[in-house]
Amino acid sequence: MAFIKEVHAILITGRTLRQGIGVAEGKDSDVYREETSQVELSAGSMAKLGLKHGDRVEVSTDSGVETFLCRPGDLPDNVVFVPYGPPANRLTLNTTEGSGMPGFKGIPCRVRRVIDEDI
Amino acid sequence: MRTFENTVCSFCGSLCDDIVLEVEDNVITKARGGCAISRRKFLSAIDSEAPLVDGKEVKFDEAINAAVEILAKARHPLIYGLSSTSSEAQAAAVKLGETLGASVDSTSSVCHGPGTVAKQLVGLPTCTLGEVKNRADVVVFWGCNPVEAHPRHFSRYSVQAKGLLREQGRRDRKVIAVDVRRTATARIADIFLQVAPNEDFQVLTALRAVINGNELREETFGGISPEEIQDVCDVLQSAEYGVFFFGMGLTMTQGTHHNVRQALSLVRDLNRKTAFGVIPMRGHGNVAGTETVLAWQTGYPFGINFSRGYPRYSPGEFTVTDLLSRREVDAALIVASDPAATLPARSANYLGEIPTIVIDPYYSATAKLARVFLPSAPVGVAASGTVYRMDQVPLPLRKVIDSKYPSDHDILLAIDKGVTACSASKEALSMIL
Ligand code: SF4
Repeated sequence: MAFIKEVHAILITGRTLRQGIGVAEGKDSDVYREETSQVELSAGSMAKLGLKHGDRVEVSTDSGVETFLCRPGDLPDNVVFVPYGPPANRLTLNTTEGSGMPGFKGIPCRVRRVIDEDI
Repeated sequence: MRTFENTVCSFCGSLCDDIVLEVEDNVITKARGGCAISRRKFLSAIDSEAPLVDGKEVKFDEAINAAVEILAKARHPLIYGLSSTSSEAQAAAVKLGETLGASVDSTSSVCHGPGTVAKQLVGLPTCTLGEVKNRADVVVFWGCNPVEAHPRHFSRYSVQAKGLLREQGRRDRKVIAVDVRRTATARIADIFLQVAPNEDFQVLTALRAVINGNELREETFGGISPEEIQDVCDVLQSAEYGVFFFGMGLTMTQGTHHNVRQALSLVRDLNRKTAFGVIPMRGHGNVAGTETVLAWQTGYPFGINFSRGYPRYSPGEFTVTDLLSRREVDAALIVASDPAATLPARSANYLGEIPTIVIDPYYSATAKLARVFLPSAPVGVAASGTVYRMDQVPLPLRKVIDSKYPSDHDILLAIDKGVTACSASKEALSMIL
């Protein structure tokens, strides 16, 4: 894959209504799979990366790398949001610093646009 | 056709108890009154896969025996989950944990656990959702988004709800939202504070400073100006009856229990000026019950270990993420929860390396990793039981259809009986030898 610019941001994972409906319907449902494979970016970050709704982006943290489809969100430029689900779990941190709570929110991450899948 | 009125939906901690279900030929054909999530939950309630051992269909008893064998052999088993089952099943899981000398943890450790640690430090000046509905004129939502996660919370309890002293509903209440994102909840609030990521503690500290009569000397507190802090303090102090709801925006961000300790202390400070309550916005239907049941059975709310024959409590040591990341357990029993879809992958993957047993009404992502899958009757649909609402009010769940499988509670008792018999025969054998 080849990439252009990248954005450094803070990743937040969380519940959305469609994700909740997906959990109730079953995690094999289309609604769950679709919702959990999206990332929300601010209009500013989307412009900076030259993205439009539905483009593929790669998000990476200290835990791993995952590809998502992007959609615009009402967020500050330094924040990206991913609904709870298996793709988000590849990015969340399993260290709890003695609290029992893993890193689900406030995780430093990098976001890049995927511009060519074949390379 | 049979109609069941005033049924409880146990999908989220709001536990709406006004759902109308229509049942025909043992199938729920209509679910009225609930939100979109609730409708899907009731209408998707059908018996799932058969019992499985190593991916092969087996009889129920064989699956129970396989589970007993795994747990009886294990040196340090983990019992985890419990937030989407009845409190009767939670109590049975604690009993099994004691029999096995296991670690017992609930999904609390990955949602509101830090809030519970803070509660142990400060106390919880709290109230019921009925009091919120009837009395609250100032409502704070900090790091939670009920519009998407608890869709009927506003209309039943906290915002549009019309109450005894709040006859006009929304018009009688001031709503303050605090979040990193401008969520759907933030969009309907009268005041929205957009806090910088991981800086909630600073904002809470500034609020406490003003409430306690101090002057603010910095230019910004976690992205919020001193003027905004002052405005919010004016609204909080002028409340006749205020309520502070907090969610995982406080418990999951940097600072974890320190954030909640500061929030609970703010509410305690406010009680010197007016009446104020605080309620953790609990997610899963009976996650509040896990803490209540575990605390009354063992003295501790989550993160418990029975290996010395008595309960010990240590978040960060006996909590699921730590036990799995450090590969400290050698078998796992997952009850009514799906850690493979909810925990960080680096922890969850370990469940596929050890013998894992899953008790769940649905064939979950964790069931796919498990050695033994025991399907159960979904509680609140095909099994009855008790659940605790987010304000700790217990509510009864009804059985409206039959399942061919037993309840989580009965399965846990059967495993406990098997393990107890197994250890008795081992003891007898060692005496003969
Ligand atoms: S708000 Fe929660 S408890 Fe009420 S109907 Fe919706 S999912 Fe069920």
